[in-house]
Amino acid sequence: MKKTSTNAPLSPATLHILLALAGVDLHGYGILQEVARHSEGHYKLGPGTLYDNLKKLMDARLVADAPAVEGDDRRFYTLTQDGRAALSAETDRLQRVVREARMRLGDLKLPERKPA
Amino acid sequence: MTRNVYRLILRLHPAPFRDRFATEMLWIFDAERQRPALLLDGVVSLLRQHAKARPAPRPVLAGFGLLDSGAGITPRRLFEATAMATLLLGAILLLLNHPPRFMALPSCPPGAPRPTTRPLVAPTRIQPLNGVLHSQPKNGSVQTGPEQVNDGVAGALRVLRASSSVASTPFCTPTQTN
Repeated sequence: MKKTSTNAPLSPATLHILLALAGVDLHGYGILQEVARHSEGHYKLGPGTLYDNLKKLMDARLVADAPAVEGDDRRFYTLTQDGRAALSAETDRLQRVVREARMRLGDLKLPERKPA
Repeated sequence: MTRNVYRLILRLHPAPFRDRFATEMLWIFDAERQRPALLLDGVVSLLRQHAKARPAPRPVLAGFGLLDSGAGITPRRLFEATAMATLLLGAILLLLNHPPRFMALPSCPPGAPRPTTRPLVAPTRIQPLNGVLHSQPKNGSVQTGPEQVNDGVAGALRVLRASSSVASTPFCTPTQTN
């Protein structure tokens, strides 16, 4: 089984899928809708891209099959502990990137340098 | 019709992927009201999954790398390859006939010259230029006198003028006039 490092940057599709599953277990179409919702329609996945990424995430054990929902034939997916850790690590990494970008763009004050 | 094409695309996916996800993908295709754009997504997925499922090639045929010695060409593989090529060609033709908005040409402004489909350089316009290079009088000796040179220069200028006028034609879609 492939091992995915939790420190490696995630692809946009992977990040959006993990983010969609962070709150609740969803079926494939639910993931697509949730991704469109939380990205405010800016990022849309097709079924091919979704299931390709889901397969990779399941192989890496970041996502697993959720218990079947009564009265619904569709398969639901859930985030595993490793998946949650990967999402958390990616969020921290992005936070550092955003902080650095804001400092460089002048939104935040740069740390003062002592004169030589 | 589009649903059948999508089902065919799903059937052509590698078996492990198809068995696991094809039903859900078809369900999403129906839920998305069978948008034609999903066909392209399906074709891309098809190519991606086959690229992943494909083992490292072991070339035969004297090292030309044309065939895998492992599986060989079976009727099923031949059919799959043909269907994939047909689908890819169909997707390209679909895109050419119905380009997405970002690929569509803007409408021509009123009064703009209509784009032409004539060749960039008409064969008859090349004649004077050819006359200089290949004029061969009846006596058999090649002549490149001042008259022929002048003809040739004038011809070349005409060719340049014709091609520049075509090149300056705006790239736009003619508006329909009733």
